[in-house]
Amino acid sequence: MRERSSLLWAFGTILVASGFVWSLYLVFISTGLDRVLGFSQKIFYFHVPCAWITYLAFVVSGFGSVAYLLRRTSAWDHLAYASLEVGTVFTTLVLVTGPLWARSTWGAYWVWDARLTTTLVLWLIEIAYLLLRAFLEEPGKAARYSAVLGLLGLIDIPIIHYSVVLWRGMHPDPVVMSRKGFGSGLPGDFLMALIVSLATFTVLYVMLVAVRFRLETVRERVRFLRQQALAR
Amino acid sequence: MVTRYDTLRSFAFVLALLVVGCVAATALAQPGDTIAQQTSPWRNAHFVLYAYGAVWVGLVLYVWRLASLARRLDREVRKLERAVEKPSRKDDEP
Repeated sequence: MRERSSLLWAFGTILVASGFVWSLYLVFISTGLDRVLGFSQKIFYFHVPCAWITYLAFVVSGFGSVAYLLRRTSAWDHLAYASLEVGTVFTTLVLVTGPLWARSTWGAYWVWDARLTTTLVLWLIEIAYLLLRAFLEEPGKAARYSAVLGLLGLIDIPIIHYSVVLWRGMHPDPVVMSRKGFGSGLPGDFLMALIVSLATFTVLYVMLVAVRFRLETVRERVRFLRQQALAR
Repeated sequence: MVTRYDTLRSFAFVLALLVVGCVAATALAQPGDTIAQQTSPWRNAHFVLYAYGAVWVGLVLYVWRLASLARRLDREVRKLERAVEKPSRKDDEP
């Protein structure tokens, strides 16, 4: 069992490493320059996957939160927590790469555009979730309250995605999940580079959540052993 | 030992930095000097490097954090298992 687990980890690591190498080749060598945005458009191939992982992380966390509230099994809570923590990392990366792209394209690092503002709100919800977990001593209470907060954050996801349609601002309209179909707003070589980058980031997300989930399970064991040690 | 107060202080510092950064960044707008279509397509290459660098640094830092958390939890588990085993060994002695 342990051997199979080690093989899976090794396979995942090789997959992620080769995925990153391939996507860097596609982004910087294979794809051409955007006619309008020039070289700064290359940020797209990391910025969009980070945003995609943010969406995915919240959906998985929301699923885990609902399952925990219904079943009260700690494994679901661990999944929700692990996914949301990893999601926070990627949301932070979105909020770093986005303004860098904005500076080169719009001339300003930050504007109070609907998409940017709602993404910032999502990041603040994630920080609140992590603080709640850190400061509530009772594990059951922490799990319940943070599950509710995670579900509230899930409401922000469709608002972020449709914000560019509902409130016209500086952020471009969706070109990946556009109304005409997946990736219809992109040339073939751009779409290929994006798909490779998306796949690599997704595998990385799954591995990080798996590691974080295991650490939460170990932390639960630490709490159990502490109680046993105190009882003696 | 990192206390909860330290964690709260760190979060508060990062949050304050972000808010100040957002407000300051809106004041740094210089329309015209880097607007696309008016400049060379390679002019903003340094922003691409900063963005990719930030992603790599962020991911490496997080993986490093997970590794140090794993080591700390592993040490605690071994320490607590020894503490739980000790009294039961003493009970076994005649």
